[in-house]
Amino acid sequence: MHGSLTGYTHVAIDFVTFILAAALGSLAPGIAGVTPEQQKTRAFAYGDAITRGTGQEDALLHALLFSIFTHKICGDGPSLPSYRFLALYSFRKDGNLDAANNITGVTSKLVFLARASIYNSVVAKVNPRENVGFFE
Amino acid sequence: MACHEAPRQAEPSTEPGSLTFRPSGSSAHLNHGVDQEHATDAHSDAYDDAFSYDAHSYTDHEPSYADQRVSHANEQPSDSRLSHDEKPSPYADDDPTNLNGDSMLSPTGHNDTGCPGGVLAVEQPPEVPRPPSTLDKFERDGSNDEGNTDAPFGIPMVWDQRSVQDEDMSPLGIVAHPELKILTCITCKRVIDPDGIRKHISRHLPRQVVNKVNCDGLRNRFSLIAKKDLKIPRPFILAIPTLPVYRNFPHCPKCGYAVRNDRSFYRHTSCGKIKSQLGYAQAYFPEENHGGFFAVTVSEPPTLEPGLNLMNVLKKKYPDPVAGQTPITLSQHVRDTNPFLAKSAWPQIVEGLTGEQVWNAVRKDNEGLRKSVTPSVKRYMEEVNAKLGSSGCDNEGSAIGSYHGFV
Repeated sequence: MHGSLTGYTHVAIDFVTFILAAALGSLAPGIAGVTPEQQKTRAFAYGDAITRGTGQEDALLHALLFSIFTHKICGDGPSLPSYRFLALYSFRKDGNLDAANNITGVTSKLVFLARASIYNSVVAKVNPRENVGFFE
Repeated sequence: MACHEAPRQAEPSTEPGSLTFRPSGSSAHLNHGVDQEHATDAHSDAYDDAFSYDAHSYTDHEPSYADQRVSHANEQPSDSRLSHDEKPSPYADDDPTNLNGDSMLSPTGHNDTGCPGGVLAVEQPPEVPRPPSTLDKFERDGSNDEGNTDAPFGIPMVWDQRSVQDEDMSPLGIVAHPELKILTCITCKRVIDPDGIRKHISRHLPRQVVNKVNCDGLRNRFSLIAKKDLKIPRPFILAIPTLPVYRNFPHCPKCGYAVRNDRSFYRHTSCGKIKSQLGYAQAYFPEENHGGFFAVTVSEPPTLEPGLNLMNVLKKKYPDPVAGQTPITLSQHVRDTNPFLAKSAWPQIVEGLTGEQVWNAVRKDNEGLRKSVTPSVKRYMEEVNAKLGSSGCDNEGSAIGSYHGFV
């Protein structure tokens, strides 16, 4: 795996873990925010799949991410877990806000994740070599 | 200030901060800073005869050297009138009868101020107990009463038996080193040029004192070497007292050649190709910064206590708080030109939390959940990277930001 892809994967793991923990209630409400019912249902299903090992983890993960990034932004308000993840992820360990370019690095990863989830839903059965003009 | 032709009789001052001159045949009192014009007039009369100096009044007042210089600058016209008989010669060294060097000053010329000096007497003053001089705090056994000095890196200036300072040299603030044939100034922490002893002492002491210094006597007594003939003492010698000692100086372990920067050590070729070592070093004229450093040995290890270093004292008293354990607060005085924080409402999310709490909430907590999530997320990301990679290229640029659409 390439270095950058590894970094993207780490951010994705942290993000999915945070969303699941927020839906399952293992985070403090001040940190987790308010999880919508649709996201909560998808998160329960995905958590049940990875616990039992049903083999549908990838599909349920995609469903969860698509429910989060439906609006093509990280949630539509500060109360959503995805938005709070973005805010919390922008702070360093010493409590200072990270540099703007590093914040952009985080947001670009999240946007890429969102873009991938939406793309997979829209053109899942389309040959990716065809120019469907989705991102143009 | 012009000299008045009709001098007035100054009123006697009884204040403790008054400097009193007692000319023979008249009583005139000089009060520094209070009645300067009267005082100068009185002093002009007083200079017609020899004057004496009240050590008690001077010690109580403790005038600064700037005051003394102002005072004596005002006395300049008075001195010009004394040029025939009573004026002290500025070239007292030329007096062949004054080559002894032992009677340069009155033995009571001491004060307890920061700088040595303060002697104005040429006559025998009344018996006054001698206050401690500048060097008295340096004990003969190699340590002082405070344990530290303001020497660099806290290394005390050891006062040992190799140095000489008699009662006449003590008020001048100079120390002789007969082995090295040099004279050092305690205040300036440097070697005094034998040809400029009077000039150097005039930095710290009033002119009346400087004029009475027997510079030729000092030169002959200690066989002082001229500045241009000074040679770097090699190999290693014990650190010279009253000169600052520097540590971590690259030097030649063979001959003691020391440089400030290790990159300049290549110039030392007389000992062949040899590697430098770090150690203690001194210089005759440290402020000139033109080299001349030589390696020395110290008789005691450097003091690492806070000492007189203010920053070390403050750091020890007020240690830095652990940044990660300090709650995050939004400063009320920050000028948010681009109101990103106000719009994003991020401060409300993290306010009150510590940096470690925030870091752990999104990166460390829920370790079991993280492990179970990892395989499926990795597969998903690899699949996404393969699908969104432009032209089937699987390099990392295809997955990160360099996406330009399908070709």
